[in-house]
Amino acid sequence: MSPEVERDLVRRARSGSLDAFDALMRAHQDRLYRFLLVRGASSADAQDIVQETFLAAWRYLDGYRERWRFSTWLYTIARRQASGRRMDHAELPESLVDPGEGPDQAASAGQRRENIWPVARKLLPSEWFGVLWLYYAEDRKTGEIARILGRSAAWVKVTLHRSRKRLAELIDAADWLPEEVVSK
Amino acid sequence: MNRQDLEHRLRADAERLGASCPPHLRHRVAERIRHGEGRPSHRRIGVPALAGAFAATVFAFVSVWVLWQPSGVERHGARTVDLNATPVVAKSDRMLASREAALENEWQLLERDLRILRDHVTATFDKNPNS
Repeated sequence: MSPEVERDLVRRARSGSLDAFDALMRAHQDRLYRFLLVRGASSADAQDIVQETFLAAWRYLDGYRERWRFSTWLYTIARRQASGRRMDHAELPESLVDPGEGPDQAASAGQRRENIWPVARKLLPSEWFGVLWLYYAEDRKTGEIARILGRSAAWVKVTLHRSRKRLAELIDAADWLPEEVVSK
Repeated sequence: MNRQDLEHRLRADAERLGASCPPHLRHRVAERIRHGEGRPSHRRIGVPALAGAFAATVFAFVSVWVLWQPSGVERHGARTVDLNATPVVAKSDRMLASREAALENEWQLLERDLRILRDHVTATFDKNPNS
């Protein structure tokens, strides 16, 4: 969705259009849901949080400032909604990892490498993983990540650097990925 | 693993992670909104503005209250009725009683002065100039 279209939808939703808000929900719900799952929420909790996030967004739509992307605002609300819940699933849900890749495909594809994100989830502290995810998977800038996580931009930059470093070191040291797979 | 490889893998592998939010969830949100659960907030005055207004009101009230009070300590000597008299200090709730005491004291001193004056005058005129 282009920024112009999104801006128009937000404007219409502000004036009370539920259709426009529904389009916004449709555009963002999957990524928001995935963000919560990878942060360690259970499937049921993630669904609850998504629901509460959209309701809060509708309620406080007037408070949204276009300085940030709409999705950044949603993520910030979701993080706050999630703060009182347990987010301690250390492993990514099975349904999340490589959708569509059945056992046959996986077995036949010797060249298929292991996904790095479940490894990162196991190796990194939860907050570090969150920063790494928002930066690389959600393509957020450090300022946006700081906004979402309620941290300073400097903290985000330092954490990003440390996360990359530790992940690379641990992967190399533990030999999580076979060499031929890595090279692939 | 160098940084470039790592970043490439992080981006590429994120694309391989997909999750689809159940569609009924969106419908449920819409339903809740229709039932007025998430009515849009048209509040133009934010919490900080309200807090500021409240603080300003309290400040104004306290200022008026403080200015309305009589001064705590009166001019030194204004209430002294004798050389060794303790200055009458009008302080809040004791103010009225202190002022009454001071007036009483002044009245007594005035009476004493009048008596002295009367005795003096009497003594002067009672003297026989020929004696």
